[in-house]
Amino acid sequence: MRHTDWHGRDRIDLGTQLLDRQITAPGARAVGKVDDVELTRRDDGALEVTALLVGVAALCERTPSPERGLLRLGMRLAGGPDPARRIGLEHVVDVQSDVEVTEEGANEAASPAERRFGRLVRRIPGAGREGG
Amino acid sequence: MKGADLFNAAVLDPGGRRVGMVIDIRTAPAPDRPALVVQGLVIGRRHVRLFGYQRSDEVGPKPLSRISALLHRDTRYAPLADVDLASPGTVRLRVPWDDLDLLADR
Repeated sequence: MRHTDWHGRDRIDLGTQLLDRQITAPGARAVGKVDDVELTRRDDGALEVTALLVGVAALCERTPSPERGLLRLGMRLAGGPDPARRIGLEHVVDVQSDVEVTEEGANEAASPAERRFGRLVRRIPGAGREGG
Repeated sequence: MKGADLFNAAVLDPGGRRVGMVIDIRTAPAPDRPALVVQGLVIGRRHVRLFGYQRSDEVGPKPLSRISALLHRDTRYAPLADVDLASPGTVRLRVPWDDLDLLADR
């Protein structure tokens, strides 16, 4: 099983070293941001981070109330709210200034809102032509 | 459980008095599986982020480092064994606040 490359770090402070970092797929394609993490309690009592959570719904949960209202409004305008997407830590390849994930992890993080916007934009006349 | 359940959670001492809030979660990579094991919580008196200056490899710019050290002079580290996470949005210490290590000493 492939493990994440933490570059020799023996401790990771989630707030400063993982949250809000850009998530990239192979080829440096941006697929989202680490908006929250999933914590799982093991049988032996240990608490572990088992997945990254992506999406405005996840971000809302840890945002103070005035900004949270604006985010929820934005989600409604974008046709949401969409549930948070989950990238299992087994799909995280490397963590530096950004978080590199496998192609499978990137697919799990794909944004439904982005797909909706994509469909909308493709209906605009001339959308299929590149600018010269 | 999610990180959002812990970040910014109110921290109470064993007597139920509010002493601070969770400003970060310290973890360590598990050697045998793809996971980060939670080691403890960083608890601040005020809602100010750490900006990474708690790490020994993060030293500059000097003025910012000093401001961060000043703001976090009373920030503490609570090992997971010393906290009770049973109530959502609230963390209760099992030991007195003064028994926790200063973050600067960790």
